[in-house]
Order: sequence, then C-alpha cells, then structure tokens
Amino acid sequence: MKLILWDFYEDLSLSFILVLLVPIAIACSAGAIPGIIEHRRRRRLEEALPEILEAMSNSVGAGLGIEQALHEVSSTRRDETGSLMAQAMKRAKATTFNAALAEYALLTRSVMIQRVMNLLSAAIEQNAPLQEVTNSMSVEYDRLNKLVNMREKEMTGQSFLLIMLMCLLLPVIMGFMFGAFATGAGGAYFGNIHGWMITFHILASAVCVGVSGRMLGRMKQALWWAPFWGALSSLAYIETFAGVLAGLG
Amino acid sequence: MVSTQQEERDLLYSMRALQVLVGSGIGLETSMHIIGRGGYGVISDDFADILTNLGRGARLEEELAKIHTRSKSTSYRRFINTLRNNVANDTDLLRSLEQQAEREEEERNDKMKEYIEVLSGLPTLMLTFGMLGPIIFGSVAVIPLMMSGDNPFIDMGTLSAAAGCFGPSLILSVIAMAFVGMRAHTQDPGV
Repeated sequence: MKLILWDFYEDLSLSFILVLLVPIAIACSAGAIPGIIEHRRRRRLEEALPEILEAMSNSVGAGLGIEQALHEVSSTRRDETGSLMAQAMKRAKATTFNAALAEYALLTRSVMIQRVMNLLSAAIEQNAPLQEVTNSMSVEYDRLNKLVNMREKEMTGQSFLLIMLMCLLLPVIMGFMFGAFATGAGGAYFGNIHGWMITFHILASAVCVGVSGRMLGRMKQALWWAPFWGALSSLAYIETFAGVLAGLG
Repeated sequence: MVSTQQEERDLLYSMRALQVLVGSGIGLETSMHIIGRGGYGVISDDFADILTNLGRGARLEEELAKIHTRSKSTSYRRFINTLRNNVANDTDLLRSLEQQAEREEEERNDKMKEYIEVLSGLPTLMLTFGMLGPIIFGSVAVIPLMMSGDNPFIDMGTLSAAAGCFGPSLILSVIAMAFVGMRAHTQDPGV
C-alpha cells in the first residue's frame, strides 16, 4: 500500500500542473455537491407545480377562496412543497396573502415558480377568473416539465458517454500509444511529451465537461467537476504510459 | 448586443404570461409593466425600456416599432408586431397571442427533437478530434527524424523545431474540439 502511494506521488510529480490540480480537484468536487442537491430540490418543487395548480383550480372551482385552496394544498402535501407552503401560509397570518406567495416563491429559488406566483398575485389583484388561470398554467407547466424531463433523459446518456470517452478512454489509448511507440525504445522520443499530453488531457476534459454540462442545460454547475476529470484523465494517461513501459521492460 | 437565442429563450413564457394577464382583464400597458419587472430576460428589459420612454412622453406604438426594427428573431418580431397591431388597430390580442403561443410551443418541441438528434453524434465526433490530433501531429513531428538518415538539410535544429510544434498543435486540437462542442450551446432550444 505504502509503495503504491509512493508510486502515485512520483507519477504526480511528472507535471507541476498536476501537482496543483489534484488538491483543487478534491476541493472543487466537494464544492459541486451542494449544486447537485440544490438542482434536485428545485426540480422536485417544479415537478410538483402543475399538480398544485390543478388542485388549486379544483378547490377554487368548488367554491373555495384562493387562500383556502392554498391552505388545503399545504396541509395535504407531505413533501417539501407542502412544508414550504405551510411556512409561507403561517407567515401570511402576520402579513398579507400576496406577501406569503412572494415568500413561497423566494424560498423555492426557482425562476419557474417565481414567474407563476408573480402571475398569480397579479391575477388575484385584478379579480381574474382564478379557476381558468390556474388550470391553464397547470397544463402549460405540465408540458414544460415533460419537455425538461425528456431533455434530461435523452441527454444524460450522451453527456455520460462524452465524459467516459474523452476523460477515460482517450487518455488510456494515448498512454498506450505513446508508451509503445513514442519512447526511446520505440525509436522516436521527442522531448517533454508528458508535459504537453497532460496539459492536453486537462484542457480536453475541461472542454468536454463544459459541453456535457451545456447538453443538460447546467454548464456552470458541471464546471465544478472539470478539475476532477482533468486530474483523473491525466492520471489515467500517466498510469497507462507507465504500465506499457513496465510491460515492454 | 442581444442574440436571437436570448430573444427566443423566454418568448413563450412571456407570451403565456401576457395571455394570462390580458385574459384576466388587465390592460396591455399594465401587463407589460408586470412583465417588465423582471424574470423574462431580454423581453423584460425591452418592456421596461418601453415603459420608461412612455413616462417621458413617447407613444407606445412607436416604441414597439423600434423594438420590432432592432430585434433579430422572427418569432420575437412577430410577437411585437401583434402587440403593435393591437395598439394601432385594436385587434383581438388574446386570440392572436393564443395562436402564436401554440405555434411557438410546436416550434420549441421541434427544436428540442432536432437538438437531441444533432447532439447524438457529438461524443464520437469529439473523440475522433481528440484522438486524431495527437496521432497526426505526433506523426508529423517525427517525419524529419525518419528522413534524417543521410539528408544534409535535416539537422538537430530542424528535428527539435518539428518536435517543438507538437505541443502547440495539441492546443489547436483542443480549440477544434471546443468549436465542435459549441453546437451544444448554439442550438440549445432553451428548455
């Protein structure tokens, strides 16, 4: 175990960039986790939105006021939407109903929900037919959610494939090729090859992580993983290279 | 400078919002004010600008015409034109918005399908660039070495210059990969 660790440190020291990148990668990977949790939370809230709007439409249609309708939604739902709504309704007792809607929208941190709540308060202010308004918004946001889910489902596979090909397969192939053919034993050793190849793998990984994040519509969040994949692809390259050299004797 | 993509990103949402507001009996100017408060990107900015100019004495029709002239996206131009027609000729705004939003929604679904189709080949294409770059440039860098036998024109300087081109050419490969990957951004349907 001790020997493996020493070998690992020795391999790392082949590149100054890699020595710097590994600690950054560990820190950034930890920094990426809150983003993932937040994204999942926001999507759960957004997924629940059409259902809430439909329930509100039904309640208003049954003759309840919008405030009562929201109160019913908050008391029947056991998920995060229910608890956030209950929290907002509780505070509404001390403030106004519009302030409660605004607070719920802010607590969700979702642009989609903020838009809906903004429209809902405008509709309430103008005494608009709320049953119709909530029903049409429910249908519209249900369609939007389906489209977002379709993108997520279709693109996740592609984005995963892109990362695997570029950050793992490519460095292994390159490590094998350069280990077998571009060393002194292969007859064509040209200079500090590792320095350039490691830089290449780090930059290529960063580009691919950015592209795969863009495919899913969350590039900034994905970029937190760029140092991790950059370090991993460089290590995969170095280890394959070293393995091939050891194999050739 | 605002791009077509930025103009189209929140277009459907703002159309639907305007539909809800106008359908609720709110006037066009007040509806524009609600949208102009923010949340709809470029459209919010444009509406806020219009309302500021209206406060200075400009006419709504002329302000909409200005936006119509400077906008790049056809869909956004159509939307602004609908609003302008309503102001000038008192047309049925709600019905026009409904039709346009449906059309826009269909277009967005088509764009989404197209996006998925276009990006399906992207991982393999990028792998091709990533593999071919080092192989081709690596081979080019060793050509002088292979020809150096009895050739008096190839000295150590030529050999090291050829080897020195290898690194920068790898950076060029990464730039090429980034250009290929740009498709993920430029063709994004904005969902």
